[in-house]
Amino acid sequence: MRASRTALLTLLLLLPVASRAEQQLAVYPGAVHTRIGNELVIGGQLHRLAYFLTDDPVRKVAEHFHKQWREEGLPTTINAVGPEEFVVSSFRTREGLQRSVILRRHGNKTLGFTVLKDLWVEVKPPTAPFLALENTLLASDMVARDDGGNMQHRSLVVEGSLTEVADRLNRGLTQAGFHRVRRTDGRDGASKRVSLEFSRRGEQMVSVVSELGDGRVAVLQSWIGSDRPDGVANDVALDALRRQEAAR
Amino acid sequence: MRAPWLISLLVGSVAFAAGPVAAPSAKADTRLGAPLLEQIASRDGELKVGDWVTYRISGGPGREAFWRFAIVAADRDGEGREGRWVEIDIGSHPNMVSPLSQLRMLMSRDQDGERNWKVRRVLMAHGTARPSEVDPAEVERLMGSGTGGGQGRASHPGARAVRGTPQRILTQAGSVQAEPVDLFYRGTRVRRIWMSPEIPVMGLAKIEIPGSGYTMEARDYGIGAEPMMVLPKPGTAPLSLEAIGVTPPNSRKENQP
Repeated sequence: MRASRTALLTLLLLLPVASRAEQQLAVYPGAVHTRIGNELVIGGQLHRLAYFLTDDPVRKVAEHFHKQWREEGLPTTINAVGPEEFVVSSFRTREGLQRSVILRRHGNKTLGFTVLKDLWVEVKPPTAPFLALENTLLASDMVARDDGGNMQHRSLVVEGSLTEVADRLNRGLTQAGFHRVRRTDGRDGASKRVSLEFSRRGEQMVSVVSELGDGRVAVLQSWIGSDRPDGVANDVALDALRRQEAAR
Repeated sequence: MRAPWLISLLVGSVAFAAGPVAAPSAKADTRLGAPLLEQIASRDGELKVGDWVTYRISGGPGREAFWRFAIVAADRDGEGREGRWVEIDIGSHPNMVSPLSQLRMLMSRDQDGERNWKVRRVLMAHGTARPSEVDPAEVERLMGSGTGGGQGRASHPGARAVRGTPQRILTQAGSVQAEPVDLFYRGTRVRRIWMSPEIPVMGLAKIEIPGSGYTMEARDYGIGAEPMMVLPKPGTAPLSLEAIGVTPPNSRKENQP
């Protein structure tokens, strides 16, 4: 009885969050939409993404969204990036939400990415133990808060050779307590690529270093905080278990 | 966050609409540039919670905007005086689902029997920014000239207001009984204001500006208005006047005709 009351109370507390989460991506009629991730954090802001393909021309799809959003009373912009590329955006100022559709020609079809962006929620930077590499020219973080677990990604462009940067990653992660599970050397076309897989107390860190040319490499670091079905990060679950054991 | 145009719109730039609106409540008051807000503040009687009105402002093809005025809740100010929350939204669509600017003000009277309402708290948002509250310590400086109980009203030489005979006029909100007030400047009619007790909140039915071709007329009105602004999170830093680009009163020049 107490458990059901607690569950009801929890549900009531979560309702405002749930209703906010019900905001939908823009949908083009008659097209199959495929979600990209679930809740994505890009540049510190919450995003939802999906893509679709349709036989309709780019302009017709753009005009569909422009008309629909204007009729709903939303401030709407439409930008033609080129003859075959449009970006249509609408804004819900009361909720701080932006919906956008990025459209471009892909073969004989129109490829559309639909985006829902929360302009008010600022998400803390990734907590994953990514290595800060010297001579980094560009860095971008993305967090995927999927049901299966917390995944965080950092993409870097670093000055240096493939071997040197891979060695720096290896040393740095080993010093941070990670254990190297696997190293795979491969090629992507003419470019060399090194894949390094590490683990630490259930955490997994995968780093892929790829040659870009001109003495630069791309580094994609992916950190998986959990492989548990309930999505609780392994280190958090282990800490909780240790606390329970200590309490006994 | 910067919203200078909203402030200036509120405090001064509604001149075409606001100045003459005050005329009926102050006899031959012809001051230009008084805010529309003053018309709410100087309304006789109570501000009824739930009253709302939407205006359409038109200046020709492609030049259209909408304003919503609504009394959305009763509340008490910091000193326990009974007050009203007034929301003003400015948008490109009358449904105000997504206005371009939002303003929410708590208005109360200094004491029972006093006629004018004064603004005590102000919350605002511009564009997609989250609403914030203006620093309460600076609200009086921001709003004082607009809702100061008629202080500072001055007649401009060469300007006069003439009341006409009430008649039935057609607005987008329907036909209403309204009294025309013509504002003349040096013999030329510059504005005609139609005041109607049937239109809630301000009693304003229509404004015509012959020179520019602008009109502002009631489009919809009714009862049952609900608060629409999403309030800031507790602990959000207040906006200061400097941050929102309001010129300190000492350096503001008189609006000469």
